[in-house]
Amino acid sequence: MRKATRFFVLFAALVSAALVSLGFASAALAAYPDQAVTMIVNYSAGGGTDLAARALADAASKALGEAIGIANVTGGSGTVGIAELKNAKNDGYTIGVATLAPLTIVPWQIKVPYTPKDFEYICAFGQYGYGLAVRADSPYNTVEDLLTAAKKAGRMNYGATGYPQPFAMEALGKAAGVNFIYVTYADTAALITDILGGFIEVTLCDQASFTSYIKGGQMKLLASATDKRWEIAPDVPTLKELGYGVELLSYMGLCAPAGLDAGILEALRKAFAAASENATYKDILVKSNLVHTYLSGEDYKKLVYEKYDEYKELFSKVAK
Amino acid sequence: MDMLLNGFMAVLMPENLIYLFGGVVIGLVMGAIPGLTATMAIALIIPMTYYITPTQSLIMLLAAYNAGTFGGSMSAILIATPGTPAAAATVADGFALAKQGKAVKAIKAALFASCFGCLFSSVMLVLVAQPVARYALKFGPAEYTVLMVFSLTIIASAAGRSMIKGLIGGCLGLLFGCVGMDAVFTSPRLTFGILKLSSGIDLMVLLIGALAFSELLKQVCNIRKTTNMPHLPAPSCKEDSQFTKDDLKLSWKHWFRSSVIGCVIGALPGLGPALACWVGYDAAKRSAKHPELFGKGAVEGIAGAEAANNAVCGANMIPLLSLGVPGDTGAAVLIGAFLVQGLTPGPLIFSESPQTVYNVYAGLIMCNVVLFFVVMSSYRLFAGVAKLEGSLIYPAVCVFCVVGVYALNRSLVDVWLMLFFAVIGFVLSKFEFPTVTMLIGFILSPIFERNARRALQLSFGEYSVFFRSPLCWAFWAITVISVVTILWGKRKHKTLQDGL
Repeated sequence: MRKATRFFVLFAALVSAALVSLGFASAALAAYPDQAVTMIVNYSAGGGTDLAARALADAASKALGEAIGIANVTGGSGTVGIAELKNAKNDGYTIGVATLAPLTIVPWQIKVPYTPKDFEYICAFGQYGYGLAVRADSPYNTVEDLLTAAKKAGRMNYGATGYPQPFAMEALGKAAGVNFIYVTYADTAALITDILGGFIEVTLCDQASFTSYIKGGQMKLLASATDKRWEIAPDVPTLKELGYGVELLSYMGLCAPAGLDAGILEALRKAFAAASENATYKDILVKSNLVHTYLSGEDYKKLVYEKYDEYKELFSKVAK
Repeated sequence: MDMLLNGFMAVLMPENLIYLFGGVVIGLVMGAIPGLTATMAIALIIPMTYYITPTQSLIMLLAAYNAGTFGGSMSAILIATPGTPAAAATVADGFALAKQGKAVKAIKAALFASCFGCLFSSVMLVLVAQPVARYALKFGPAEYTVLMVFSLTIIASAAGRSMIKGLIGGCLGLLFGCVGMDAVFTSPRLTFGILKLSSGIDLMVLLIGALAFSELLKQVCNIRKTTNMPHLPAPSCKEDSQFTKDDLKLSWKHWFRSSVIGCVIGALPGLGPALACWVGYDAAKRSAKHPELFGKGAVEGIAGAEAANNAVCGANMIPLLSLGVPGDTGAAVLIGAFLVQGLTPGPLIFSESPQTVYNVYAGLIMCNVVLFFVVMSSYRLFAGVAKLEGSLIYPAVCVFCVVGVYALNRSLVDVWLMLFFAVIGFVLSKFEFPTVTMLIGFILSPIFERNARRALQLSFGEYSVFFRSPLCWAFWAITVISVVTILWGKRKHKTLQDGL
């Protein structure tokens, strides 16, 4: 009995140490790929981005012929995982999810050790949507109602979980001559609770986290803040249709460290292009209320560079 | 009612029961390993649930969550390392009992309290979920702020012999809680330019460092005495390994009180089991006949903490199923599991798939029964750890601490932080500062700050917001009562000592 437990404890300690060090195993470059690929996900396990990334990895591993292991490296609004990706070996065995916001927006808020130049772009695979929502029994039924009320009161609070959402509200406020005040919510759950409890009147929300409340009749969508209408609310116009030139777009992308061999990059791009058409993956994307999109590596690269400069300008204005 | 019965029938079907059982075992093992929390257990199981039915998936996840929350106390009792943040309050009394040769008694006390807590909250979930959830929405940032002011008094009551030392510990905790992004301006604060720190210090890192690794450092100090002795003494009599009638008599009131506390904390979004265990422990201490025994091996302490944290597991589902709002991080991860199955957590699920809801109810209730039998038939295996010598167990604990903390976020920064807190915990305890006040301060700090500043933002800077609603007034009243009773207790204690 005692011997067995003794053995068990030692064994468990060794196994856990071994499991961790496994992640660092490296290999010589032969015919790519000849070993498992690690995919860094910059958000925590179980979240929307993670679920989509895992499903995509699952599909891509079939096209690639090697397993793809997921490593959640979280923190710093998604930047820690991307910094880790930058530092990884550029042998094609470490790739990572690099969402648009931590690549292009957060660098203007906190100091990060990377720029868009530090990466090769494999593809963009999912789109986050945005919208303007209020509580179901709110007196506002249209954007017009909201703006009139805000004008009357002189100012109005709105909740959002981070950038780029405030840019839309700022533009809206400027167009209508209303002073909107940004109330930061670090976590989405708190924002939802405060909207449902009536403590804050309006939110510029993301589609993935708020679709269920709009479907469930607890909240009303006043307008879509993306380039198209929300699938669940085809009658609700976009802000652009209403004449406010505001459009928010954000993507989940896939990158590798810069300097990756061109042949390997091509192989990865091909595998993930095939994977993005996988039925199970599409199903999970739709169920997690994300929009199925596919941007090629070149297109995503162009978008990232463009947005990086655009946000630089916007934030220099905010700083003033 | 019929649907609930159908739910039980469904859960008892072999093809579902096997998943429930699997969830319990996975949760128990992962919970017991420091660094792998109940929340992580859920997150790691979710990708496996793509291909099974909603009922199978959800009962497995809930079972893992509940068993994980209990599993954390197993390592808290046996090696003074909380397996999950929710088990932090169990370390003091659980390990003290283990050091008296009563490890098995402590495990049983924790198990009974845990199962009772989760059963109690599951019944509440079935009976009164809707009204409770709607009431929970009345809690805005201002109400949370005042509730946290009340919770801060727990620091004073946990201070022990020296109030000043306790409060200093509490302030340290509050300070460490400030590291990370500023709640309003989203700029990094106290991060010393380290990117990883911009998301704050992980509670698990602080717990393992300050509680477990600092205990290791203490053991290094008496290395000559302990090396070849069993790490924990053997039970001296049969009763040491039993949960006796007397223990039950001591515990049952605390079970009920802490279960209610756990239900309230679970139903309020944003609080979670890590807070519940301390509030439950504190409530038990204040109402116990011999509060001076707390921390020295009081069965009531385990009962108070464990009933409260497991009650959160069931109560978490109250806002999740009635409003679609997750009660804590564990429940937030569960939302993903619902969505993957094509279910919408919230009022919609009752029309989308009502039977699944009742299956979840039945699964939650049944997972306590399964957990009970699994632990009762396997605790000897775990308790075997007690017989190992110190020279074997402490190096192994050291490995668990380092690897567990690394595995948390795959970050070496976390490991260094853990060692930093180990030194702090060691120094604090050498100078007889109560480490627990630092932990409580750390847990409360971000919740308090975020809500206080948000309340002020929403009211355009009017401080009167904290006195507007009757709920706020109620919490202010409780706070005053709490402070008065603490001061009163101190005075009584002092006159008693002076008289002697």
